[in-house]
Amino acid sequence: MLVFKPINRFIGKIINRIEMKTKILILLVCIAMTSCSKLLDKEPDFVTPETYFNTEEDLKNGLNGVYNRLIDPNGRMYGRGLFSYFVVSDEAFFKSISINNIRVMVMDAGHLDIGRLWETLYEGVNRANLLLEQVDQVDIDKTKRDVIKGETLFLRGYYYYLLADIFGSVPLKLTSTKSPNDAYLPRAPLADVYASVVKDMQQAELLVADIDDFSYNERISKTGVQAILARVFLKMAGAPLKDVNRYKDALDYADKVIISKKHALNLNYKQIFINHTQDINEKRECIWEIGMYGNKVGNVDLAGSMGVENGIECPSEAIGFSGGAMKITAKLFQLFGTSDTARRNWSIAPYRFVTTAGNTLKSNWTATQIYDRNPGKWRREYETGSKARSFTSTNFPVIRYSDVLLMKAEAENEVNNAPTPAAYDAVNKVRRRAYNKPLDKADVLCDVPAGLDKLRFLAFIQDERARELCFEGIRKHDLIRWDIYVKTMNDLGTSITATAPSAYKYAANAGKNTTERDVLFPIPTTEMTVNKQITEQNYGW
Amino acid sequence: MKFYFVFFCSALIFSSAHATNHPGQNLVLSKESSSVKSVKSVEGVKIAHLNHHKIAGAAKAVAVYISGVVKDNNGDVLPGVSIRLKGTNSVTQTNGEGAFKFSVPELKGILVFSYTGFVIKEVPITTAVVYNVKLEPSTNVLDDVIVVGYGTAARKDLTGSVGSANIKDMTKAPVGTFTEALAGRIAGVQVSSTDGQPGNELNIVVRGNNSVTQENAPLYVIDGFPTELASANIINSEEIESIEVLKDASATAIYGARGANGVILVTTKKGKIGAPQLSYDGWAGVNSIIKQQEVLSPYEFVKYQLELDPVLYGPIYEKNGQTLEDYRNRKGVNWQDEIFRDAYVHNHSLSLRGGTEQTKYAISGSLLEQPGIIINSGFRRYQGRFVIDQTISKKLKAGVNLNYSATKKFGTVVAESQTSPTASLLYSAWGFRPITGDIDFDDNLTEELYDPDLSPTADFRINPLKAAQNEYKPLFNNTMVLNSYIDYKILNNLSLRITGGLNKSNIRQEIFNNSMSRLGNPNNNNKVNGSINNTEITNLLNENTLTYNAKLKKGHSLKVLAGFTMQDVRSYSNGFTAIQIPNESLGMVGLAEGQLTLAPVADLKSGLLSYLGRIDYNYKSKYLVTVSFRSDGSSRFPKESRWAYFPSGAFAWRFTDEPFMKGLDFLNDGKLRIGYGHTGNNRVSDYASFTALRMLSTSGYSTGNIPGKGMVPVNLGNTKLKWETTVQSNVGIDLSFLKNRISLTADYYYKKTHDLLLNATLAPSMGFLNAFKNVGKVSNSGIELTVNTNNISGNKFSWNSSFNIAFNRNKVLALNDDEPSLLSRVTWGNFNNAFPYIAVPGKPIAQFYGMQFNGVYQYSDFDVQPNGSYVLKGNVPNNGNPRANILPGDIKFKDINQDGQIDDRDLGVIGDPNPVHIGGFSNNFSYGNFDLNVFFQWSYGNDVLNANRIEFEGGDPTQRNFLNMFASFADRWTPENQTNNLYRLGGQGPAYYSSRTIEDGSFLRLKTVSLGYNLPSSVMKSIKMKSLRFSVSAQNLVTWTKYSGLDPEVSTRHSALTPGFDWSPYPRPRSITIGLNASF
Repeated sequence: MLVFKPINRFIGKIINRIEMKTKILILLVCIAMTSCSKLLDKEPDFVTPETYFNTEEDLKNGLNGVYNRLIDPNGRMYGRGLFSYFVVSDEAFFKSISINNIRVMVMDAGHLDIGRLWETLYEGVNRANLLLEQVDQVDIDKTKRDVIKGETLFLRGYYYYLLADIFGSVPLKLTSTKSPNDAYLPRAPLADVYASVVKDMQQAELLVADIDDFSYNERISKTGVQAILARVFLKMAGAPLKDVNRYKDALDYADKVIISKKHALNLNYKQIFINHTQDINEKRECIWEIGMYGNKVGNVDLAGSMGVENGIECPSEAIGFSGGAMKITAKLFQLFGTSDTARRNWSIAPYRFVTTAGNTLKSNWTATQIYDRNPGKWRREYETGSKARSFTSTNFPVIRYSDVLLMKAEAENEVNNAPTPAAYDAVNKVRRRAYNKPLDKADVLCDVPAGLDKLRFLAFIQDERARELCFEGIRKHDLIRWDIYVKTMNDLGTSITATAPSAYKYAANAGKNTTERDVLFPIPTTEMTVNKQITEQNYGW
Repeated sequence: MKFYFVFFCSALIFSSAHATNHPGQNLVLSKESSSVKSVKSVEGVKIAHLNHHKIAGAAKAVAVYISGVVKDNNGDVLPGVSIRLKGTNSVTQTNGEGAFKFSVPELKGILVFSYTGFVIKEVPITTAVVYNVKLEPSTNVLDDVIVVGYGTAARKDLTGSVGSANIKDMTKAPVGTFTEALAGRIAGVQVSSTDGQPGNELNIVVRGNNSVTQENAPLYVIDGFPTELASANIINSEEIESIEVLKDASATAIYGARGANGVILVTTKKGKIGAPQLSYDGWAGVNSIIKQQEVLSPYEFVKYQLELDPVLYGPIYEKNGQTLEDYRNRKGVNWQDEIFRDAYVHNHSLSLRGGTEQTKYAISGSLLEQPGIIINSGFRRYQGRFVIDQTISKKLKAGVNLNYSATKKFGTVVAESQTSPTASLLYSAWGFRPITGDIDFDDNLTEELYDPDLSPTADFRINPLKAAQNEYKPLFNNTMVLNSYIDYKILNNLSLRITGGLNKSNIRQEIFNNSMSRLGNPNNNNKVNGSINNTEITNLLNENTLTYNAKLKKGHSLKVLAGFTMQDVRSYSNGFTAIQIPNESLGMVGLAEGQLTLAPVADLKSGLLSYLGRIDYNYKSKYLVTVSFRSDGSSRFPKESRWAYFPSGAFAWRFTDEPFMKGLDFLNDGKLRIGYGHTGNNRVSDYASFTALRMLSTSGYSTGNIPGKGMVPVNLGNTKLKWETTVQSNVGIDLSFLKNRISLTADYYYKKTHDLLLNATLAPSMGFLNAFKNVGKVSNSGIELTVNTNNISGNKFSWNSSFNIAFNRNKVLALNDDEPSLLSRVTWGNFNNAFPYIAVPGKPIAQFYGMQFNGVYQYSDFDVQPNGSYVLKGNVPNNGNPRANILPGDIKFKDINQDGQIDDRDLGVIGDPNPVHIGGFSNNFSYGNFDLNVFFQWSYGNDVLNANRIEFEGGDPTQRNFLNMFASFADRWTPENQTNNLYRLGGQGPAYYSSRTIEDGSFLRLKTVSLGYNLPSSVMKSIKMKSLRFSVSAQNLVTWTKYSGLDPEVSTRHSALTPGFDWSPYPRPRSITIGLNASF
């Protein structure tokens, strides 16, 4: 203390010499110093999760945000990737792409789009988790809340279903991320991921609304949950889990949809897809669709590439532009045989548009021009809204009633170790519709040949699913769960190399390049480098 | 705004308190020294002796008045010279005529004359009362008074590391902004530009990058106003009085939380006592392109096309019986000639400065027109400044410094990151084919928007001439900076300074893409489109500092600074985008008729409250100690971690003042400096601690054809966020030899930055890609050396040099959660899946990452099959493509892990973008009335990733029809030309970056040469001017480099993680100008 004495005296001396006016001023300055704490409290220019959710409207906005990841404006989900470059199979190939591309299986774990797909799915999971944590805090009518909660649960389950289907065993995160310091999770066993999917969806089944409560099919309904559950169980019963007991569950859930009588086949096959292009919600056949909107013109950015990416080549914007990026394989063309031409000529466009001297007209392909053809399910010339160059409001049908019928047939065949009459009936309905025949009247032209054994019936189903559901993003999934993806692709490669015209030999590359590793995508580098809990990469990556 | 209220209250109290003071109290010098007895000159000091008895009478009454005139060695009077009675605080100044009058208690003591740029002179008071003094211009920088944080200091009393720019040399460079001339001037200050686009702000880094993901730009303090958002473009170089760069922690810690990246102090000229001086400075000249990129000749181009696809290109180039040979002498279109031009630049600056003892003023204005060497691009600035300093009373001074600047940067941003590589301007300029197959059409090629043979849907490649002509993308910046202060002398040695500042910028970005532009042409989904974005930045500052400055007895000297400051920044922005605009002839006004898409509004606010203090103590300028402290509180951090404390200390020892050093005659001055301190960095977004929910145009979901709004989390907040801290130690030595003809400064520093404000990569399974975390460590260490020499100083001829060199080693010590590496992508081309950069602990923040280029597969690598096809030998690894697809001539990579196949496990470091050393070498020669400045700048040992060569040497993974290539592509592998340097057509392999396109970016540049002629003073007097100088200057005259691209000084995707990337750069021009400096 002794040391401070001279300092104190020194300071005292200075203070004494200061005029009164100045002392007042210094005092003022001191006051100013203490009164500016507000300077450091700035309110952000956005709302935060802690304070936002108060009304039903808020919850609905949150729910829209959860659904939103099904689109992804950059085209990684049902906006484009999930019916195009992520699901390369034996039904189509990509124009002019022969090397260095995911479309011909050349990629690695650092691939941008695969990384973005993973990110998008987990964003969906996180949004669902966040909403599930908030939904019970909001004081609204219980039934309304249940519907929101049920849809959110379903969506979380659906995102995990896609993750498991595409990436295999993945981290299972069931709470929202609250801080950058939250712990990372390891890959959960695949069975656990599926168990969580089933749990979420079965809980959702009890909460969500009936399809009749909606005038559209873009939200998930009770029968929608059931149809998707049938698909999930069928996947669980197949590769890689091969939990064969799940065939029974798949059958039960397909039956639930059928028995509900809320859905039926649209007797006009092509109308299903015309409806999509014309923004008509037809909820009998199409159980659940992804709701695209607009064409990226205006202030809503929810459009997709349906009809552009998988459309008919057309240089005219007035008709509906498409570069015709996807072309079909001869294998798919031939699967339709000689009599299933109506369904084939809708699914595979027999023409393209050509502009000559300013006039754009349909130009039919010759009988030998097979590989030139484009998918034709969604034809932009039918669009009724304003047409933009590269984006459309055409919905993507995730699951249709014909898929439910085919799943039922497949599950019946598996559960009973042979096709039952019910199995036959289900497939025949789908086929009779394709041939424009009455659904309940036997017809040798289109009906499944009688007396097939289990394996041959399954083989028939496999082809029938290709015919019925081509370009609907399901073929690769089916081939993988039947455990025939690699062989099918390799065979395709061989066959194209042998038979395709020279200009299209390159279409064989995807098939030739497919190996065992391609049944799953790699866990993206972006995850692997940061998340040390994940130690093992998928096979072959 | 409470604190402003207080500020104005304070000001009011001051003015009212002192309005009653006697304005005439300074007018004590009523008596003229009429009784001069004799005048004699001793050592340039003219001393007039007075009658003794008269003085005795006066001395007893009040005080003695002495007077005189101060002149320089040319005999010109020096206004504003400070005269102090040694050991006291009584000071006066010379007036406009160089005259002073000074009251001293008695005729005893020593008068100290000091004036910036002149040697301090001490004159003992004798019996005389008139002292006419001549001051010698200083050649010794130690005498300079330089600006430091919140004050000034004599260079000899510095304890920290502070670099000063030689403004006189810098202004000889004919450039638009001072930062352009700063490169190479100060050791350890790295000034680089992304490319040569006029109006681009430069990247300045002091002593290496501390931050990995955040800004590494220094804090700018312009006339005392600290700002992180400074635009160098708003300042007129002619108005700059001094530029100091605070480098080490003991110098920067007074800026606390913002000091870690170094501090650049810019002080503008003020009025000086003296008659009004009107000056004009101007230059005009021509900027032209230094080097064009060589592309394939029409013949080589056609040859390449026919080789690529005879089926496709044969009918085009061989129609009407033409053969390849017919193209030998065809001229074709040189697209670079079409878009490049000689640009006529000019800069004019006019100033009026002067003042009396009471009022000093400076008024200046300038105009800069800097069209770019690419048509329809450029930069212009109109600017004006007004400075007034008023002495209100003996105790009170106040002043205002007001700058207004209106700038416009316009034209295609050539290096801009676009969604498609084909949308970059130089892509079209280099890649647009020079020739069609139709000889009659070639002349029209420059008239057509699209290539007639190219599907317009294939890429954004359109006629580059039309593209450049039609792009409208001006950036307007109107900025007003107002700095005001009140200085109040509470006691003779205690003063209070209160400043208030306002920095207001209105920035408007307009974009209009008409139907002839790359992004608005009819093949675009958006058709004709445009946008306006307005940003209004309001930056308010109040600083209050007390300075106690005392020369104590027995050579002790003490300076104490204490203060508190408040700063409030708001950035409010809004705008909208319209697409499918029907009437493009209306231009921007037509936006209203288009489809409105985005209308973003943002309001970012931040506040900073700080307390600061510093003690400078020295004993006879021999032992010097500086201790400083600052405490900062920022609104950017959560309450619990808002405050941070930044202490520093430094010690200096002028060992040449020790008795035992007296014998060393050759050494005039020597000082050892040791400093240590903590500084911070708060460059994080304003609301980084909050998780944000937003409704975006992309975040909703549509049901029943009604788009629903979606509320989604867009970023993850961190409620534990805090400051990033840099701890820096510095050891320096200042030496001066041979009568100060050689002076040398050397510094060694070590900086360690911890708790990095890292925009950390998160595992995407968290639902977020990144978030701010305080993780990671970075170190920088280095040596800086500056040598100033006075080589020859004759009467007619003199030669001075200034040399500086800096070595910095940057090292990442740790990343996020022991993350083994951080990979970074850049957006430019079809390489989105590859990462060209990696940050690894133990290595610099950025290193190039990719495959080791291992030549080209030759025939010897293959087994020939019976059917004539080639199959890769079993022991030869593939290149990432399936083995079956590989052919002779394909690119080959090194199999690093030797597993027989190339995949992402073979990726590694392929280059280092960090220079080993950087520096500058400036020489001033003068001969009679001529003066010559020659300035070199260099960077040694840094690599550049030349991505242009990837695209234009056939490396795009997608086949691009009709795309021209660089001339080097003619030397590709063919069966006839089995080179190992460049792969065959289509042999580029998978989209990996490789060491093939990493080049040595070292360069030595003769940056500025300026030859001037000063009209002799005899002529000047006859035409009644003070001075007149003509000059011829050149900028970027010669560059010696091995780099094959346009310019090795390039970084078109610049950040700490991604330096030295070259894609579609705006070429840096060579300037040749003539200049005129006149003052009246």
